[in-house]
Amino acid sequence: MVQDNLNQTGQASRLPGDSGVWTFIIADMAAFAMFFLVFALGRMEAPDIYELSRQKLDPNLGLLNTLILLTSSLFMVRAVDAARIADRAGTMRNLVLTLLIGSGFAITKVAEYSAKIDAGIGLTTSEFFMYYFAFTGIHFLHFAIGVGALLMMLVKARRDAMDERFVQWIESVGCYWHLVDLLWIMLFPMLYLMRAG
Amino acid sequence: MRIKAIHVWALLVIATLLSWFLKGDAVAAKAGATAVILIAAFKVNLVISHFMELRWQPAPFRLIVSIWLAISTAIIIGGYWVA
Repeated sequence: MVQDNLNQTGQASRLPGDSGVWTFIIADMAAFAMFFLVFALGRMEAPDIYELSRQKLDPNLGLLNTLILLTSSLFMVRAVDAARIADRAGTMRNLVLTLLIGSGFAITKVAEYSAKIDAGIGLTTSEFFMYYFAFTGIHFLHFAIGVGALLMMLVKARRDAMDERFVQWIESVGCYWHLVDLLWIMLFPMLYLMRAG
Repeated sequence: MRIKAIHVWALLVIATLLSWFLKGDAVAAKAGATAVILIAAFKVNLVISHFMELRWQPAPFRLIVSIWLAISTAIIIGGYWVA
């Protein structure tokens, strides 16, 4: 049984997952901070155009995707917890739920992109939409990589020993999956909800 | 004491629904827009602390991530208010 990442004794706690994964996560977050900056600077130049473009987004789909990712993340936490007590069935069950619920994000995103394209909205419609497609597209790529990593963990959970090495694997994939959630938590209000005053 | 994941999830959902309420006409646009970004920052902090389980030790990852969150929040809100 592997200890979780608590710090109840006052001693230094353990980094969940691999430190290399955390280095990647931080580099990735830095890239998104740059995205937020170029968006903020663009919006400062043309707030009216950004607001008109924002009003063409469907916030219902943005809300749905937020709830999907939050719920998928909950089952990811449960999968990691199950792995820590070497509960193979629990790990697999929660990984499947993480994937099943998370896949709803892809369905919603495809529906949203299709609706935009059908309405004649594309990358060149406005600077707002250029950023919208670029940022959400890059985020979707992160999501797709996360789905691949979760499928790999499902295979590993089926055949590998539920040892410390496995726990480090699933913690690393878990932290990456939460990164996908975390980036969307910032993108959703920035793109869909910030109403011009 | 570790908070149960389901309770953290419930708090995240409530915060999301609060953002949903604030986006409408019930509140002034600028106050609402500022609030939804601050709520997002609160949610991100919950995810970092309770889902990712990133603690202050071992350094330096939590410190870097927290600085990232503060800067990102300031960029989005600052850009909105200057516009």
